[in-house]
Amino acid sequence: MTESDFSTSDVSWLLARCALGELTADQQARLEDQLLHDEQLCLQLAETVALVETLRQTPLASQPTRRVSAALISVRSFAAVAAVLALLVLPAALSRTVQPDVLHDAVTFSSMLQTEPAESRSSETDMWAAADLPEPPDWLLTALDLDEQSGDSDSSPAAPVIDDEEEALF
Amino acid sequence: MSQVGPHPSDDSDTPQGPNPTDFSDRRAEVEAACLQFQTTLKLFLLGLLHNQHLVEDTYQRTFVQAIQSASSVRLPTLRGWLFRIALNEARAVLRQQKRLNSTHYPPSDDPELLSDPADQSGTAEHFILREETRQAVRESLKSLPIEQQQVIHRRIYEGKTFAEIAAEMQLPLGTVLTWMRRGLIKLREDRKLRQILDE
Repeated sequence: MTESDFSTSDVSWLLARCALGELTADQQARLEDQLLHDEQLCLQLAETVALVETLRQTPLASQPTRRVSAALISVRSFAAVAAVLALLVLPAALSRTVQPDVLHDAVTFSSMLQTEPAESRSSETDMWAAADLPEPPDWLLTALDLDEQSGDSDSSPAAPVIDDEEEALF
Repeated sequence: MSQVGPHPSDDSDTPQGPNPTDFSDRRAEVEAACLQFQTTLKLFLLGLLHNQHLVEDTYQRTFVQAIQSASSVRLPTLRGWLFRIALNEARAVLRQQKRLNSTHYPPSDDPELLSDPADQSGTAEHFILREETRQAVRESLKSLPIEQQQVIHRRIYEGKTFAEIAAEMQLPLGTVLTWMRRGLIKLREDRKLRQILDE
């Protein structure tokens, strides 16, 4: 800011304070002395008053509040979306590596448990199963426990009751 | 009223012994100029008097004084001459008000002693705004930093003193004054708003 800029803004501020009625008696008297010999200053004062009056007569909806720029909104939105996507995708991505195995195990276990009566299992089968099949996941065991409980308490079990020995073979 | 208006002898270009026709022409020109610069003169007076009733009264006195002193004016300096008459009339009115200890205009020894905001609103009824102007003002205000908007809003629309604003915003008075100053300067420099106000 140059000296001339400063003095210009200084005069503008002096006129603005005059228009707002903020000058002391001394300041007002000094300004009036200047106005008496400076037509351009008189015009500037009239312009300043016009600006203040224009502001005064322009109703605003409400007091201005801190606004959030469109760029900031977009950045925040992007960050929020990214966070949600990360929460959704990360577990899926982590589980994707084991999901086929889990599904395969689940199908195997469920078919074995549902089609093979407990009494028909031989110790060899159990040994084979224990040796070659991975540990069943907890969620599957929990689901099966719940299923058994509901089957005990309910007269219509979820799994079809197999009475026919021939059908049971399949 | 001895100081009101420039004395005819102050003007070196005063015609010696103008004939009635010249004087009549000069009066007509001064009258036309008073009407032409009416809005500017009233705004100028409003900046000094801060009271619409005083402005109207002072403008009428300025008009009469200008007509009476028409023979002393040089036409190229007519506008400046009218400003001087208006300023002298405003000073006379202020002195009169001070003597009467009127409540119309508060003593300006204390900058925080402002006239009632209710009185300030609509102080220039003649200054009718178009919707285009209002829109330009709103846009210009929105372009300011929020701090400057808030200070202008509280000072202009809510009529609060700068000290009150500083207390509300929990800021030093100097900061509030600086924001007000920068905001007004930016509004003055707003090209679109300036163009509309010049019209």
